[in-house]
Order: sequence, then structure tokens, then C-alpha cells
Amino acid sequence: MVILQIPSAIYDAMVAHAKQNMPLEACGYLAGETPSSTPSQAGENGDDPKGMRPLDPAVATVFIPMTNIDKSPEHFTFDPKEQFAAIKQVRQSGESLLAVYHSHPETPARLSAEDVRLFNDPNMIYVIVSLAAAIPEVKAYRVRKHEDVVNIVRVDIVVS
Amino acid sequence: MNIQINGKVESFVAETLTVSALLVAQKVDMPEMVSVEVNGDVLDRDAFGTTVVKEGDTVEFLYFMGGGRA
Repeated sequence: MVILQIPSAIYDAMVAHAKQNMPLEACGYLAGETPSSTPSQAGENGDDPKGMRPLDPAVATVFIPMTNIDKSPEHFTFDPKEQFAAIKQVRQSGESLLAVYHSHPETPARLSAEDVRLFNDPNMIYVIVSLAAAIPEVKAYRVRKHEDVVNIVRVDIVVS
Repeated sequence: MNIQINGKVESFVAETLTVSALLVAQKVDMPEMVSVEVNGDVLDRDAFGTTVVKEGDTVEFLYFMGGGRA
């Protein structure tokens, strides 16, 4: 089982960010360390035909809020300039980008078909914060694609 | 030539490469889903085939990130 450990302060900051951006979708990164941590950037899985890395526990240590340039309640897109700044910031600190978070203001914390279509980084954990109910629901997944086969794996979130 | 890619210096026999060719060389499966920055400038995807990288350039690339309700 894949586990993503999120300190409560980071968890709370992520949920607060989602609420602040209501009714629009919010998004961001969680960065941190894994025992076999490798930077999650395109093209770094060339030696692994399945595009995977070992399923080690991941511990988030940094929350990086990002701008949803779509400014939409139904979809999100990261600002590429902010993405490059984030990866450089994380690289300098010796950590890795672990997870992409986005919010679902009105729908459950499930991956939509569009989410799956656009999630192409096999190294990332995808965290969804749903604000559809009074109590926010947070779930996480890995999405792996190999040719036409899509494999979605639930990731357990442990708030520490 | 030597260029810095995603923070690491890498060597190529060719003296120049287009960004498209570089993505192929880096075994990027889905170049259409990648954002590329060359020497601090984010490229339009239409420019991947015409933008040339050369000795000493700094290149970053990462997956476009987005999603939606549909």
C-alpha cells in the first residue's frame, strides 16, 4: 500500500487554500522526501519501461500553492512559470515534488475522466480535496498509463 | 555539446539540437504534454521544432499539469 504522510499543519494549509479559492478549483504541490527520492520531471523514467519508481512511503514537508490559470470551478491548469520555479525551489532544498493537489469545489474526491486523461506524470501522487460536503474530504491516487491501459491506485493519507 | 537539463549537465555528440529532438533523446513519452523552459524562457509548444539548444544552454522540462470535471 502506498502511503502519503502529511503533517497536520500542511494538511490544514492545503484545505484552507482550497477553501480560499472557492468557488474556483485550487491547486498546488506537496514536496518532501522519499527513501528512494528522485526528482519528478519528464524524461527521468527512461530506464524504467513502466515509468514507475518504488512505492516507498512519502512524507510531505512543504506545501506549494499554485495559481490555477484557468480560474474555473470545473478545471485547473498550473502556471508553467510557477511550475518551473517550484521544481527549482524544491531541487535547491534537496527534496522532490511528491504530489499534485487540486480541489473539487462541488464534487467528491474522485478522479474525473479529464483528470485521468491529463495526469501524465507517473511519479506524482494526485491529491484531491473535495469541498462538496461540510467536512472536506481528501483522497489520493497514483495514475499509471502504459499504452492504452490506465491503472489507478489509491494512496493512503496519514495526517501526522 | 554540454547542456544543463533539469539541473544536471549532460553531454551530446551533436553541436546543436532542436527541443523536439532533445525530448526524443531524453525518452520523453508524451512530448505534447511537456512544458519546456530554455535559459529561463518558457517556450510555446509550437516552437519545440524550431528552437535550437546549444553548448552551455540550460533546459528544464516537466509535465503540463491540469485536470477537469468532464
